[in-house]
Amino acid sequence: MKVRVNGEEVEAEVEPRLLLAHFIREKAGLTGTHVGCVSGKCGCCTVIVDGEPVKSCMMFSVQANGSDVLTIEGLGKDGTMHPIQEAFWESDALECGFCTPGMIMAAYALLNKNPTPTEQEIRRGMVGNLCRCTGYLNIIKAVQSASEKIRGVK
Amino acid sequence: MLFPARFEYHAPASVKEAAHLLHEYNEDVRVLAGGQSLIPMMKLRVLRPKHVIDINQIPELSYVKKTNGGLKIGALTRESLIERSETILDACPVLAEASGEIADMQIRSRGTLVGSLCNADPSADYAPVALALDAKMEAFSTKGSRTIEAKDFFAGSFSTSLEPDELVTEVEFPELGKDTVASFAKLSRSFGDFAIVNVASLLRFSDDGICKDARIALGAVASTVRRAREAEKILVGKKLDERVVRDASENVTGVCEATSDIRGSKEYKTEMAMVMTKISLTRVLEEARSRRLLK
Amino acid sequence: MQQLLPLKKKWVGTGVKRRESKRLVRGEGAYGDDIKVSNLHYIGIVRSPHAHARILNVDTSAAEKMPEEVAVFTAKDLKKDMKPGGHMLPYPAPDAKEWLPGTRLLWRYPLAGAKTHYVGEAVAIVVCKDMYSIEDAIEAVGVEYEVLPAVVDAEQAMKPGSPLLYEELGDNISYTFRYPEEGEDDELKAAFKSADKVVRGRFKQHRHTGTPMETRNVTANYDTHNETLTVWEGTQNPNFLRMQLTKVLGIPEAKIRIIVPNTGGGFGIRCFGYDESFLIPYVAYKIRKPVRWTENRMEHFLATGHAREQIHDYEAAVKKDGTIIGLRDRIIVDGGAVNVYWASWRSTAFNLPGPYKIQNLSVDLYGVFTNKTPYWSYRAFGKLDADVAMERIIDHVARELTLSPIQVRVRNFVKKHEFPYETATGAVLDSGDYDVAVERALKLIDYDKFREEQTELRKGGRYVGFGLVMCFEPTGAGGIVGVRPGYEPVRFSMTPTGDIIIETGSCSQGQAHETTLAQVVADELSVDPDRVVVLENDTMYHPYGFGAYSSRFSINTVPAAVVAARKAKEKIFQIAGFKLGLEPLDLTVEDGVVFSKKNPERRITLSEVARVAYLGADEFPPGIEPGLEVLAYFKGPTIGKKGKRKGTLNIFSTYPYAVHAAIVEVHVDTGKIDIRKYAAFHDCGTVINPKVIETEHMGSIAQGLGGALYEELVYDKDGQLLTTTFMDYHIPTFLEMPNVLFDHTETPSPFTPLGTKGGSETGTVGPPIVIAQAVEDALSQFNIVITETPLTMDRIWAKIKGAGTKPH
Repeated sequence: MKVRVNGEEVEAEVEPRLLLAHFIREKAGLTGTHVGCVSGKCGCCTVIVDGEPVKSCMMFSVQANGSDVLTIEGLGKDGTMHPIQEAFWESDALECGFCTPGMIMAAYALLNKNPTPTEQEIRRGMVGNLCRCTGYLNIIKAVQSASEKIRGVK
Repeated sequence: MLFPARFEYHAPASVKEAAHLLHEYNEDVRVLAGGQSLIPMMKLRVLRPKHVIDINQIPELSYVKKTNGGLKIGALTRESLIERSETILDACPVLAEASGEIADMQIRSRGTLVGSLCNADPSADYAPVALALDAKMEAFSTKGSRTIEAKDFFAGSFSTSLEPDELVTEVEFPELGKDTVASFAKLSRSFGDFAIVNVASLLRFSDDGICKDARIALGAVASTVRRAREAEKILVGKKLDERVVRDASENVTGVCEATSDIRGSKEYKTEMAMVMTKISLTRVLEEARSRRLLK
Repeated sequence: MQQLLPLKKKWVGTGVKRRESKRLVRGEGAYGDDIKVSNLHYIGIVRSPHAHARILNVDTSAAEKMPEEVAVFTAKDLKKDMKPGGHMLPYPAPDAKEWLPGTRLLWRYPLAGAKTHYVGEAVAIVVCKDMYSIEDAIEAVGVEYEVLPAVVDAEQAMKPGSPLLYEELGDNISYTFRYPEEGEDDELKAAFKSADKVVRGRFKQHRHTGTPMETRNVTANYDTHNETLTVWEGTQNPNFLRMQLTKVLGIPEAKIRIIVPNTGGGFGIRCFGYDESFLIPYVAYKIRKPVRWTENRMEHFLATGHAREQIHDYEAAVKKDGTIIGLRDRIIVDGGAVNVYWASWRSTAFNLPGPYKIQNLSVDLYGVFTNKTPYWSYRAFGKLDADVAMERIIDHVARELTLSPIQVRVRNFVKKHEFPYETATGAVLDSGDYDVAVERALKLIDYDKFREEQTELRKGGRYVGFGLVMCFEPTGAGGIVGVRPGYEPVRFSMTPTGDIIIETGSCSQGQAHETTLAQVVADELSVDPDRVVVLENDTMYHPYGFGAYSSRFSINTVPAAVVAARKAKEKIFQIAGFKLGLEPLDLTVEDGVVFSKKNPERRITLSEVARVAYLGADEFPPGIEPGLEVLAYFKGPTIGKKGKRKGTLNIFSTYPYAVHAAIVEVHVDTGKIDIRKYAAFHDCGTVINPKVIETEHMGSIAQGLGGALYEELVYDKDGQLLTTTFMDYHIPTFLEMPNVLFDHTETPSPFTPLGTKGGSETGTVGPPIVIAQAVEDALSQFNIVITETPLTMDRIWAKIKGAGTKPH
């Protein structure tokens, strides 16, 4: 099977039971996508598949055959940070950082669909991502700030 | 890590091919649509099918079509689409409303309406809507296709009346007419969690403002979604007001066969069936008033 | 000494951006599972499906015949190669007894042998070459059990005739502690005699846990070339684990290297070694191949420590004005199947009086074995439990005397002028102003306005209530954890080009140690923080520290860094003085330049001093050693200080606190609690980085809210854990976390050089008690009393139903 991960083609022979999350980590060698639970609840493994946010532990990798996958490593270009990454850093939207890649990918998907989310829209939109360190409030601020950055308000 | 047991993967390119595969592997097979319930259950090895038939390679199964008086939704139509489809928001907003209550953005971008119905989790959110609205499932197999009404579809906890070799290709919901108001109400420990109780109500009003038809479907209070017929009877033939709503709500407990679990005690769930029915019917009442259906 | 103090505080107190975040937002963090090791083999663990069972036979043949090269290990193998550990694994006899007073000592291996004592206990290990074969191999191991009756309730377990977890003990008591040692004293008896009223009650706190986003993960490799065992584990105290490993495996301590990767949250549950911390290194040592075990979330709920489950039966002797003149508390801790964390229970007893002047006290504490996952440490270990009980007792007293809960608190507070204050149990409270904190919290939440609103809302049939509690948080433990690590070392070195390296055996699970230590040292030497590199997390290099728990970082590590920097500064001034021909005492340093206070033109850069220290053998003063390296220790001056009463001593360095206030609405039809407003006013002494503190507080409050309202580890009567995924064990999401009004004051601790205290554990303490009080206030017309947590919807609903009063 072949998947384009962050624009680069990754080809591998896999067992059908291999989850996309492990394909990304083990076959593509990109360990920014984390696995935090088994039940699709924590959101740490969130990536974008063909434009849609998915939890990559909730998809078999064979299902992504021929797809475009965007992971945290593909967000910033040439060593620069994506505005969402910048906003997370500046707003102290993380501590341990384990949930952060999934959180940022979810924010990316949310802002794609809704470039100017209200606080409540952020809360509802990102409810599929759990964080145990920050209590979420700084993440909300970061998403608001990223929204402004992307729109060039700030 | 938790990994599923080994299985053989099939990705048919057509419904026909899928039906053939289903027929061939019969008992030891699962259909993979969104996979948002199937995959975690396979990871936990609660389910360990030898064959998985992935219908995601049949893109023509993804659609929302308006028909004469109804809405047809394909087996691959994702929950995220249902939530924001203009057609659905216009013709059957209660379906979109229930969709928005499911899990989270990521799960909804994979999960499908038909998959959820076929999974028949007693506390899932679409089932009460399907039952209250008399949805119809189109089941397809090598023997041909048949239509199953929602009332005959849900057989029990995680069980439907589908034959092992049948595949639901489409579900049809009625378009809600100008005389009709429907609502969905859900109580859960937190947003996106499975329901403690969920209720879908649909009421039709005659020109003189009398309730001429009422359907109340309750989820999570028994092994499968149930109609609260006694409560419905109280509503029919009456002019809807707070008192009627209360009377009807107080008569839903007959259908409750809740069991105590981590989401609440049996007594709690039983009473919440009343509380949530009241909330659902009150929403209907308010909307009916604002649409001047009560005269 | 004055000369060595920083000239100005430029960085301490500033919200510097976390340097750690830069790599983490790019997905470049290297957590345990991300560490690349070639020829890695994967480990799976066969766990007991029964809460209590005899193991009759372990059949490994089918697994060993699998095509995927599977190796299996059982308890039999361990017994050949490994020493058993005490229940708290590191202590092989004979030195254990004196280290663990009150503990019933038992010996065990990290794999169950004759019996299993809880669901999830490790029974066998499988090693596979292919990651995805682990589960298949686990299934292929056949274990034959004889199921025994289980006991899952601590009070049941204490009764004669209860199933026994360890028959050889004759009962299920795992730990006992009594204060005072010799039993209740005459003063206490007299207090109860002279009381205006005696208030009796019971409060039960439920089982919940820290459950960080990253599960546990252990990788190990034995390098035959260097004869060194390397272990990667996100432990909170790597040096301690190294010592444990050497005792159990018999490998010299100097030949064991623990590397702590980026760690996805700790919250206390990564303190000390788990069974897997020994098993995985053991396998690596045995098979001479690198191995990795990654815990799945289900295993995590079964095998990673639980906490908090305690029952308090109390009796308070009170005066009419609310003064508590005597207190008795009988505490029962449901400790689970292995006696790991008795120290946290000791901490509960020690901290019971909290910020209140209750000098007449008796505590009887029992740790009890049950067929459940072992009790571990969790954020605010044992201390939260004391605070929760004490605050509920105060509320009870207020209710009985029809006084306001605030009034009773203020009445019993230790007052500002009374610090340092020695409590009944020997705690030396360092500093504070509790009364002011209460006033500020009331302002923060706009209390006066609320009472008006409440009256209005009640008229409309809405039930809103107010709560205000004290969150008392002893920090910087030392003296009760078997070893007595009331101190911490830091190594300071300046390179020949003038960069600074700080090495510490503390280790971070997300607390921004790199950022904050750099701030502290930057101020001490008046340099830019970017010139300070902080290294932690590798026992090969860092000094023997005791890790990150009990907020030890800001109380031990930060002071040690200050001491090290000041010692280095002394030497810098000597070298600079010699170079400049000035007395060292005339010198000062600012912005990287050492200069004469009298004549600032006479100056030398720090980099130049550093060059001289290493390379200029003939340029530095006689009698001084070359180099600019300092290893310094800091020990809290009050740690281990013997108290006035027999057998008491102080075991925490500093005692920060917060006041939480909340306004809640209770929906009486569903029992749902909405938080309308939440305010936290805290005082953790000198704040190094306000942004770090604020973020930590919010997370801490979120965990407290989880524990108060949603999170519960539920067992059925047979000892099966029913909450093993995030679907069932409900941690707060974006939608459950309220906005928080947050402010602080700084009452520096007199016992740390910068005045720092522990940072943010108070956040977790507040929610269960402040919400309980606010719910009682909201439902005052039902006379509802909250006697247990969590405050789930169905429990609140049942309370309202049980009250029998129809709301008007």
